[in-house]
Amino acid sequence: MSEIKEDFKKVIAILKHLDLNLKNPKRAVNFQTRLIIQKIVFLSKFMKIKLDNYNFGLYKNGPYSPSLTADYYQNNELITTLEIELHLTPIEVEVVDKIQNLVLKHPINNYHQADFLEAVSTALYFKYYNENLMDDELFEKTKSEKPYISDKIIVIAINTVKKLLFKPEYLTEDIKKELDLWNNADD
Amino acid sequence: MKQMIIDQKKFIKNLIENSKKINSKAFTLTRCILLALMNFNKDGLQFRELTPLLNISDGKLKSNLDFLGEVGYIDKVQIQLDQRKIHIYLITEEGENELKNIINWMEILANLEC
Repeated sequence: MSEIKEDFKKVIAILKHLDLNLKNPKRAVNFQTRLIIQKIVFLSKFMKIKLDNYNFGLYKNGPYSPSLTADYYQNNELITTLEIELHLTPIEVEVVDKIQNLVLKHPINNYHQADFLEAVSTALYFKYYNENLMDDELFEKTKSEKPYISDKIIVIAINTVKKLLFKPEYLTEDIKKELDLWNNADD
Repeated sequence: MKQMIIDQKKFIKNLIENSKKINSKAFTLTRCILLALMNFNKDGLQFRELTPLLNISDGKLKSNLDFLGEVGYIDKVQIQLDQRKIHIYLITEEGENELKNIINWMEILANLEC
């Protein structure tokens, strides 16, 4: 067995932190496992976890990295055991927790995981390369790329992407004051 | 001049002989694209992903996939995605070899000066 690449070790550490129950990706029937890995790694990379070995292009099946596929086919048993010595940095843990809380723990993920992950990763891809995209434009682009995913899932995915990309510095004093007004409106 | 004639003969010989390695029935635009897509995406592709990508009717797509399956270039595998049972299509080793033959032949063709 060849030496495991550092980036792939990090992928295993990410999946382990998420406590995912994954099947052997080498078996043809375990398509959902392969889809989950691709999308989670894509989200991690585009949320600034350093994973230089994996380049993602956008195709009809959402962002996809052939080099990541090659790695999990070659180290397929590691995906089922998730045994790795490497630990994520606190910043990486923060990113992975964000993915866990906003994507994997979203109620829609329980019943429509594949469509939801595809929609979130596709919308994030578009937003990443054009942050000025308005919501309706982002919806149109995502829908055009994924015509078979329901409008409801795409709308939820776009809202999720906004939360994923939200930075504390966006919360200016003016916005805080306005939010406080809304929050106190019931009082 | 003599060298040029030898090169031309070699080119024609290569062009003809390597064309015989290709399954002419697989050498259509749609079938080549399908093999290339499945070779690129080793995870497998869903029917619903292929339709908008190729912009052809469901019937045409199905008949092309059926042909590639019959000659052993692709596998059709039933999977469970969320709560649905669907099929994915994956390239086989024979399919990869056929794609290599097609690429080799096209590389020979690329030497042609137009």
